[in-house]
Amino acid sequence: MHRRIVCTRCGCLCDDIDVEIVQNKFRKVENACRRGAAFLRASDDRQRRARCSVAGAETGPESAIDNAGQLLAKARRPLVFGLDNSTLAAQAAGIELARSLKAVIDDTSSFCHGSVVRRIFEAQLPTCSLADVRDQADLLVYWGSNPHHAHPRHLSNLAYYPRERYRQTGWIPDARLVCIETRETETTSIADSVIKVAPGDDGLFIRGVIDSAQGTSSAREANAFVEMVRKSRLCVIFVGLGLIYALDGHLQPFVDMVAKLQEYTRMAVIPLVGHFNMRGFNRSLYYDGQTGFVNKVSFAAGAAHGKRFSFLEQLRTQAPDCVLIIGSNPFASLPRSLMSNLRGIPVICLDPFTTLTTQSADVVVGTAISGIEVEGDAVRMDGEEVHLPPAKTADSPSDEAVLQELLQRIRS
Amino acid sequence: MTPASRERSGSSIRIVSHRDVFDDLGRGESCPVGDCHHSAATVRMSPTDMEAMQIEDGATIELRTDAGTLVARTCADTSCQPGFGYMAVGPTINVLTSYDPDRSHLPNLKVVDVEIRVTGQPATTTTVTPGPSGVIEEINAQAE
Repeated sequence: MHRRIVCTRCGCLCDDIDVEIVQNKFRKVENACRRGAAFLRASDDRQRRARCSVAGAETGPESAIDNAGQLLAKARRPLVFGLDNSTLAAQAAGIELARSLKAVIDDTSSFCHGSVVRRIFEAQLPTCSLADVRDQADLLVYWGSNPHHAHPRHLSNLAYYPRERYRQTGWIPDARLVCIETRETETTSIADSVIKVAPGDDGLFIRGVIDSAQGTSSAREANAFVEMVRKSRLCVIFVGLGLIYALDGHLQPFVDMVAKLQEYTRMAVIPLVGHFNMRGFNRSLYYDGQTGFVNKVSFAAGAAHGKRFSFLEQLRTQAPDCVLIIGSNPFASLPRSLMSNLRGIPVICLDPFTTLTTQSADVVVGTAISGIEVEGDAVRMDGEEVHLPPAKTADSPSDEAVLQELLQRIRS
Repeated sequence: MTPASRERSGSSIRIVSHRDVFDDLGRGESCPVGDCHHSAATVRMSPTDMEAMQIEDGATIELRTDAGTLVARTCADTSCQPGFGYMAVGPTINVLTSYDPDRSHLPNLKVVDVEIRVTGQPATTTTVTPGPSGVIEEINAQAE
């Protein structure tokens, strides 16, 4: 059986993946990148899939959900984390569960692109769709990111190569590619201009650009960058984690710089989101959850927001007495010294794959893979909603079904 | 985060982490490349620094921060800036990273200052057990 599916490995949500499925397994995968192909193949590998367990002992989904429900029901300060690799429907169920539990809810955006997305929602940063990037943008800036490794088809499928007009020999895209990077990468090797900054010094370059735009800078690279922007029709800045971490999450100088450059040309900012539906979570919590916040929310009394409700602070202060992690792997992505604070706190994990987090959890519920085994919708990194048709059937329940089941148990 | 121009002693270096697709494949899902775990426990360094610190290409070094200790293999790379080392982001380097809100808003996941010590000469072969904790334990055992 041949199908065209959407890859849910990263925030690109490539929708041109052709697969051949035999006996509910991928026999052929075409158009996917290395990450996407490995992800799809892994879905067929039973060894890689998470099994339901309680206290390390394998069990069925019913028993695992039952134990998870009991732990959540008796928790006084529960924390819900993740949901960035879930469909919009599952995110809505997760937010509703957190509300019912009067829990704190947060996702990975609180220590990556959340501040960018919030400013886009609040119109502090301009943005555009990836279709606009393809059709109109003539200056693409990758800042603190190497899509070759993080989003391997971003250049080829979404931003740089798929253009209507080409220049010179007929195959070079009619857009200027600029990298602002700390090191040489595969992406800098094909860029028209590379602006090298020392690790952590992005703020100095931003200051230089603002000064240059005001005519008070003598910094050569900042002046050259402003000149490139000045000559462009649409300049799109793809924000990578390198920039966010260099600014330590304080984006105001970047916002000021973009506002200044908007005096010369049309500017747009798109966060290079890693998890396929992180932006969907931000939207779900901000708008659909009616909190007005993209992350770090406590439902203990209404909907409060603050740094103390971030996953990082919750762990540092060992505030929660039960943690529910959905489709996220903080044991791999966060400092081990911080994650060790979870010792003694019950952890429930819903995930399709075996990860360091499932290995550390007290209760594991193996779930179906969103968008591959479960139909749904997601929000791409540029804010466009994408439908995810299922490729094959699942042996495990969807995370939405598990969250709805938990919600019912909590309410009863 | 301290300024990049901060003075360092001869045995310290600033590690910058970056996404590595092969490490990512091996860690999260199926891995089409057999030894992809090596990239997670490899530090790419400037040959200038390695010469100054008397580190041979391929030698194992111990990286130490207040948060933890990690043994990794070195790889000379002329594209690296002196004073900086480069490692794949993930659970291996997260042995060294930490979160201290008094110092910074975010954890030091991207840039971490480490003290280094040479622990072994270049190895011709290394057996690495799959799994992030396996990488560390196996290479540690070899260094001892």
